[in-house]
Amino acid sequence: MSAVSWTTLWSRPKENHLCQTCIDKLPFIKGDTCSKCSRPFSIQDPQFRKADLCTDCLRWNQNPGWSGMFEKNISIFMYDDFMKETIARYKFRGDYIFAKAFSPFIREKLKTVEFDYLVPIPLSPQRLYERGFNQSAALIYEAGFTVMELLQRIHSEKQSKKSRFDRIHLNQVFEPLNLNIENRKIILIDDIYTTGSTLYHAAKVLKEGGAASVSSVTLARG
Amino acid sequence: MIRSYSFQKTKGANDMKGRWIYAAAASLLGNLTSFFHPAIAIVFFLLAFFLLKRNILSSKNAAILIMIYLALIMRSEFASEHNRTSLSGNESEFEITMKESAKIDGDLLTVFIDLAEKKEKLAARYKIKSETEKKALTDHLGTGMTCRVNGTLQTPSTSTNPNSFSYQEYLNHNSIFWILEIEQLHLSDCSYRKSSLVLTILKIREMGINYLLDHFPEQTAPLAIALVFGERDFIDQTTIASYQKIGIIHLLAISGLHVGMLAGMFFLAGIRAGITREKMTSILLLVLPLYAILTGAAPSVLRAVFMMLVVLLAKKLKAPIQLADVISIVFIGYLFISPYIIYNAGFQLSFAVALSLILSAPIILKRFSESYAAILAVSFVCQMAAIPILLWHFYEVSIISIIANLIFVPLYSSIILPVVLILFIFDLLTGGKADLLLNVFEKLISFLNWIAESLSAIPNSAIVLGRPSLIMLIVYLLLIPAFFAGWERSKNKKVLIKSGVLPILAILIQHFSNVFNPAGEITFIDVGQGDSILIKLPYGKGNYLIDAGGTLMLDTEDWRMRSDPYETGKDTVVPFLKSKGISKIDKFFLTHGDMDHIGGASAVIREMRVKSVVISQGAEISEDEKDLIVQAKLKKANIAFTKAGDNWSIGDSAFQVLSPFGNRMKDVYTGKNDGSIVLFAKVGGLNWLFTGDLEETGESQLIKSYPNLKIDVLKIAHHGSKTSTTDSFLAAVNPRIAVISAGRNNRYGHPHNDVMGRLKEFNVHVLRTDKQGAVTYVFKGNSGTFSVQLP
Repeated sequence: MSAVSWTTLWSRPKENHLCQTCIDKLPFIKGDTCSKCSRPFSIQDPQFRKADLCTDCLRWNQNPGWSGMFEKNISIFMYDDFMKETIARYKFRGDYIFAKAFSPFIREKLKTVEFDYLVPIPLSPQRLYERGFNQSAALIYEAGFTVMELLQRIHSEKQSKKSRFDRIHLNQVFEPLNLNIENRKIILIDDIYTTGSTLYHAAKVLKEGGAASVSSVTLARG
Repeated sequence: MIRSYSFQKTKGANDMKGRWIYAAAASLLGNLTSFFHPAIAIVFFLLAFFLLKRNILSSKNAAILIMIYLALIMRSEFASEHNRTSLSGNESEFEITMKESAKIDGDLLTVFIDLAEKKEKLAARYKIKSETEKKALTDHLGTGMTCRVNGTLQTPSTSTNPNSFSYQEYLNHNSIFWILEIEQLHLSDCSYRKSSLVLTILKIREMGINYLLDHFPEQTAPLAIALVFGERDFIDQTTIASYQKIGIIHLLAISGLHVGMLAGMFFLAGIRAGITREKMTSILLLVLPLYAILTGAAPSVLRAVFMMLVVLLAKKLKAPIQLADVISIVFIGYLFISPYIIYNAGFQLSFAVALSLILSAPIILKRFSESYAAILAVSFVCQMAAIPILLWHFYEVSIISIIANLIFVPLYSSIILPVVLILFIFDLLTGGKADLLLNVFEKLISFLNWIAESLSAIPNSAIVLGRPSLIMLIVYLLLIPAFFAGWERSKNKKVLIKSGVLPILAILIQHFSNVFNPAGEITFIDVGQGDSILIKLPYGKGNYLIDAGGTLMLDTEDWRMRSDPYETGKDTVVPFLKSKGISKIDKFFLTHGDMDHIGGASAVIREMRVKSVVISQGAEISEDEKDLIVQAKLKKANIAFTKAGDNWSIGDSAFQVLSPFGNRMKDVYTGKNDGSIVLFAKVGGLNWLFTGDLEETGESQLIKSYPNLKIDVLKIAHHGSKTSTTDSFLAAVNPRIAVISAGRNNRYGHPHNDVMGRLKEFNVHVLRTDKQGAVTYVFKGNSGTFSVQLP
């Protein structure tokens, strides 16, 4: 809880689980970014920029199997050392309070976009058992929205143990849960956008299931 | 299939964290519902509804709020039910215990005492009979002494003028109902019979004060006493007055800063001595309440001490707590334990200022990185918060206080206060070896006092606005927090300036509601034996003051002289005028040169902007009048000599001077009284005659010169002396109402029975300041109503 001040007297108090020192360390994405994946151009070699897209997104777009499957990704923070440490504490070491700490930022971002369903990237039952909670679902829940489970994992090896090539070229890892998503606008929620492979795969399943559009909001852009 | 997660709720629904401030508001409203008006209940329920609706409070929190509100109502009701005396008033023998060091001023000893059998507090007074007795009492009458005395119980004086201080109310709010006038006080009847922890601490306090008086130099000692023991009585009256005027009086009170500094020093000393932090925290928890008693337990000290206790306790329990909650909890507790404290100006100021600083700290004050800018901001926040309270009690806001605080606050907090504490401890430890340092320090103190006095001498350094009405108070209470909120939100200077308009707006609203007030008034101020009449015309068209009362200063032996004797002008007339928002007197009539008419004039000329002093032409001018003329000229007032025939009119009001007749009939006058300015006024639909101290001769002269003079309201001449207000005069002017301005049980027997008889005969309705207090006629246009202060 942040300290009571004159303006907070008359409004609903904002929950605040971060102290000022940590708030100051948060690496908000600022300036020009790739219009599709939120990658900040400022820390990127200019050669990876084509107009307002980054070369990664260009590659996704040019692949006929993936083009049009995924609308766009919005990320809030850069994935710097501070975020690496924080997200590791959050999902690998099970510090659930970070879901609350990040919820105001997720809420703010979701206010700016239109959607019908908020869908978390699912964990395999084994992984869910290990972690105790789904970090993506927790973000949605703590931001005060309804969690829509539309996907489940087919089989899995940890994403972070795979190479870029593996990630992009692997077979579909998600399957849809039975449900009517005809013409719905869907936003996927995940903690990090790295190569985009997870989100593209999830998007493809949903899109093929009839969704009008699929985009994503992620905490950090790796 | 939809799977939905259910996450465990981690926060308890009834968690009051960060919400205690609303509970504090509820406790205040509960107190006010009981003491002020039941309609406050509506305010409370609106507030609770708003907080619930906006989701600021959960329903469980709201239930707590209602419980606190009801608890405070019941507590306050209970307090007023039990706030009564158990004495009949006829008792004459008492066994009393001194609750404090007796204050001896001139030949008057005053002290708060406990009655042994009855468990009741009293204020006691004793008129010292000889210089040797004074010496003996000063040296030997100590805190905690129990004495057998004879005396009578008197009811304390109540306020006899609008807005004036009521000693009776003040004492009642402290559960004191009688003043014990001691007739016999023999030290041989006194001994230390009682003992308790509190008395022991108070004894130490007394010893400490005496130590400082003995060992510290002239100007440093009183200051050190104020800063270490929270006793301001030893400081010179002019110094106090100047500190008050420039708005830095708070520096002489023990506040959070003192408590924090002392506790910090104590803590560090303990750790240096090898005691663990945890142990030191526990020790502080025990020592701080003792310190509160040691410093006289003023509201500001209690607030600071108990806030620190709560913080330390929270630290001990490892339950983080924010300051807004701490101050709220202390407030609720304080108000619950002693509901009447709400009337205490020190309590109001201490909490209002501290809360404003706490609410400003997270955002506003954080913006100031430079220490000097931060001090300026802190001092500004304090003054904004204090405005409505200062206006209520002192009727004015000081402009110069911003600058004065800028000079004095850093000096006090970084030099004076720490040095005083260190010198005191050093002097105690070394057995009085701090002399050299003290002498250097003394120079600094006298220099600072000199600066304070110079600043306070700057004219027009305060805006007199008067006591705010209820509506005006609400305006302040809305606009000042709105200003702070605006300041907090403002990202740039432009927005800041926009919100900065709000408090100025509040001040302007009050100023213009004074100036454009369609109501006028004529008030016969109760100045005891004497005259002082205010004529305030509607729409700020003019303020006239006829005389300013005054007390006869009798020559007495030196030891009997009070340090700050009662003075009608300074203590009654000027505060009354200020409370009405008056800072300018257009015409100040000095009807004649007697002390009971012009004794208070000097204070009026000093404190008000007097445009014109009007003096009777042709009458002899006394020495006192000459002094006043010099003083008025220095203040650039116009000196006008008036005589019969002078007349003027403003709006619906008309004025004419009927007497004196000036040089033309010089030889007619036998004395000063018959040379009085006599003023005829058509104001508020009535004809008034203000006669000064006119006597028989003057009256007959008057009816001879103005045979058609008919009036409605007559200010009875010469306080109802039998040598005035003759049958023929009454028959001629035919008044309906007579106002007599005289002192309670005055030594001249005014008003005289003969006069009262004559007035009865002529069927004149009589209003008397000695019986009814101030007499006020408030009017709009041509109609108005009379009211008196005492029922």
